[in-house]
Amino acid sequence: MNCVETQENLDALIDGELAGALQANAEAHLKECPACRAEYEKRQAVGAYLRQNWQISASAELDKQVFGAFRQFQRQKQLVEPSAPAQETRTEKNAWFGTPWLSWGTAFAVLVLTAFAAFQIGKTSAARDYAASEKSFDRAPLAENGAPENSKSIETPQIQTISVPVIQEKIVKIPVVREKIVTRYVYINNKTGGDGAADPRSNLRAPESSPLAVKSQLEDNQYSTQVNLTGFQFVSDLKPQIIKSENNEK
Amino acid sequence: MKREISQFVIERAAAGDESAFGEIYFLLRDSIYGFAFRMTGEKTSAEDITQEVFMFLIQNPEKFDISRGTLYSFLCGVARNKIFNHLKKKGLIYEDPAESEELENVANSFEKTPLQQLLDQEFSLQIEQCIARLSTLQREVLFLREIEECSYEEIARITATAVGVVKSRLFRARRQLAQEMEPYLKIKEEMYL
Repeated sequence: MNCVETQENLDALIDGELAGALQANAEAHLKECPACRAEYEKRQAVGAYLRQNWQISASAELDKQVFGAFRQFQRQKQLVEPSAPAQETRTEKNAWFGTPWLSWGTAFAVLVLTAFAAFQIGKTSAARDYAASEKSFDRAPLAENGAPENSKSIETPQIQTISVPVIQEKIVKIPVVREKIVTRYVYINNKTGGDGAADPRSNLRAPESSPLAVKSQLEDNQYSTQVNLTGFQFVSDLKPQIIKSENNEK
Repeated sequence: MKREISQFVIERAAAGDESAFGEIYFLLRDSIYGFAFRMTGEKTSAEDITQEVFMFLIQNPEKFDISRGTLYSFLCGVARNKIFNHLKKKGLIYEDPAESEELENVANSFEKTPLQQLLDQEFSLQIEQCIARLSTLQREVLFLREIEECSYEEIARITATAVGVVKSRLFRARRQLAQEMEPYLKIKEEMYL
């Protein structure tokens, strides 16, 4: 390293900002070059003088001034925000036994309770929806295309947003495979059934000659079907059938 | 120089905890006050600036972002703005001709500290005159490096400039002072032999 390069790196060498090969080369040059070494010592002396004479401490008067301003600001803040309680003096190691710990504990308890309540609501709602759909298809006669007669499409429940103090929850209905258990009850027309004995060939559809009043209605998003079973005698219920369909219910 | 303050203490101070504020204040008070005094040369101005800096922190805690630097460098940056506003009002900004073509008059308004009163008045006055002839920006980096022991990177962050510019200002400041102070330092050395 020559004199020009050494002079350029003198300040970094004095301040400990030079490292590795640069530092080693600069120090080696200083040992050999009296001019650079003299410049290095002069700059060190400047630093030493400044460190000796430039240190200064503030007065106690300033401390009173600053703390006075701090307390006044806190008082004004209390007047503007009276709901915010004055902060207690608390060291860092006591924080776990103070307000922050209680706040976290309370928030966590509220979160757990809210999640549990939301789960219960969701379960009840789903059960109600299922029961409603069960009623709507249970006794409704089927049309030729397989869809229930006089059926109307049931609206998809809206996404419900529940706002709670701690969290915001959304109940989202997702498409699932519907599993329906259909129970068929067999009734026999007393007039045509002979001595009341069971006719296993009978099915739900009454003979065309027999009056079979079917009344279906949609009320409060629930489908109900009333079948006039006057003149019919219950015989037996068939083995349940499981009907699975993603879209069209059959 | 250790000036670490935890985020928790800062938050407590901003929330009104006087003991937390005291912890911050007494750790950084002399650094901010010394910086303001060495730059303005006036005790009263330095005290006012120091108070304004700490109150700025309490009134605007959201402006401090620990990811961008330490609380010390943040407060130095705030102090710097207030110092330069003060110097501009009084027309005391002196720029290095190498950095700018404008040259303003330097008001030699440095007050002596009690320590300086014990020293040989002639020598200390001469040396302070030498320091006063430095540009404002050179004096700034000299203080932050020699007294506050800031790294070049920290100085660059406080002064909102590049490390290369910091090195350049420090180089010129020390070279100028070394040349001007040399005769007085030699005489003083001989006096105490």
